[in-house]
Amino acid sequence: MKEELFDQAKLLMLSQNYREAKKILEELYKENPSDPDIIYHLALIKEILNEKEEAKNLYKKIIEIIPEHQEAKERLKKMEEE
Amino acid sequence: MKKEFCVIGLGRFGKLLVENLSELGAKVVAIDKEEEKVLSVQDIAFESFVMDTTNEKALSTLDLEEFEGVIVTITNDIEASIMTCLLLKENNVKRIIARARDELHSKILDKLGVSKIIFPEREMAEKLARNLYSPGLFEIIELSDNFVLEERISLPEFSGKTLSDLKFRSKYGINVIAIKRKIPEVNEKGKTILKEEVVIGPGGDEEIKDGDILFVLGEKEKVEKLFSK
Repeated sequence: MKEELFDQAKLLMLSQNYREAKKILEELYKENPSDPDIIYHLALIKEILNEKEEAKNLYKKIIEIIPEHQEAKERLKKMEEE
Repeated sequence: MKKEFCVIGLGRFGKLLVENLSELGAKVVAIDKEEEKVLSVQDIAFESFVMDTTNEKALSTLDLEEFEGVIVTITNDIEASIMTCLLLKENNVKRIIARARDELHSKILDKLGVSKIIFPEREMAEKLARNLYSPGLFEIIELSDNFVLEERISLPEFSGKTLSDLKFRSKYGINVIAIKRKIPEVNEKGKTILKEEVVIGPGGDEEIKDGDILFVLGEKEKVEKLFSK
């Protein structure tokens, strides 16, 4: 169920239906607050939607869980530079 | 009746000003002492002249009192900037807007009674302060007391509509001159990443997406009204 919903959210996100994707990812995040994939995709959505502080905090959370998470580190660095 | 402006000095800033004021429907007279620069705006401006604006006789050939504002953008030759502003003042120009290169230049322009001084460093500091205190507002460039170029986060009600649908220009008197957005894509490792896209001069069929940042140009009040809905 979790995987199916996560795949659906990713598809929605890639088809630029950000609002729907965000709803699903927020639900998934509530139930799985330490899942780096869910956190990462939620952070990406929040960055796209200009919810900057929330996006940064989520990237930081991923890096705490997986310090070598390259994509999260890159995004966070870019956002700090903006 | 169309508003008339005169732009003196057609460097990068001056040329942009001519382009954008003309786009907004203003009648713009563009002047520079270099022919090449004047030629670069001749198809955009209402009228364009090669003229040394420090020459009193040459300057008096223009109907200076008719202009809503005269904008002096010269900064590479401070003497020319000062002389031009002085002569404009003597010719009873209603509103002189001048760009200053530094604090001293700004002080001299102020003493001459220039109506508005565009002072890049000071404006940068002001912009930063406003950015920090206005969520959803990134950048503001005041082109005159009335006209601004702002970076605004698109409103949710714009999403899914095209620029033609939204009729920014006819309904609100605002031009969207560029759109910046982040788009997700999957890289070769199968990871979702974000790619930044900037659409310069978007066409009427350009669709606004959630999270888009719009670069809007228009009267300060109108921009404020639209985005404070």
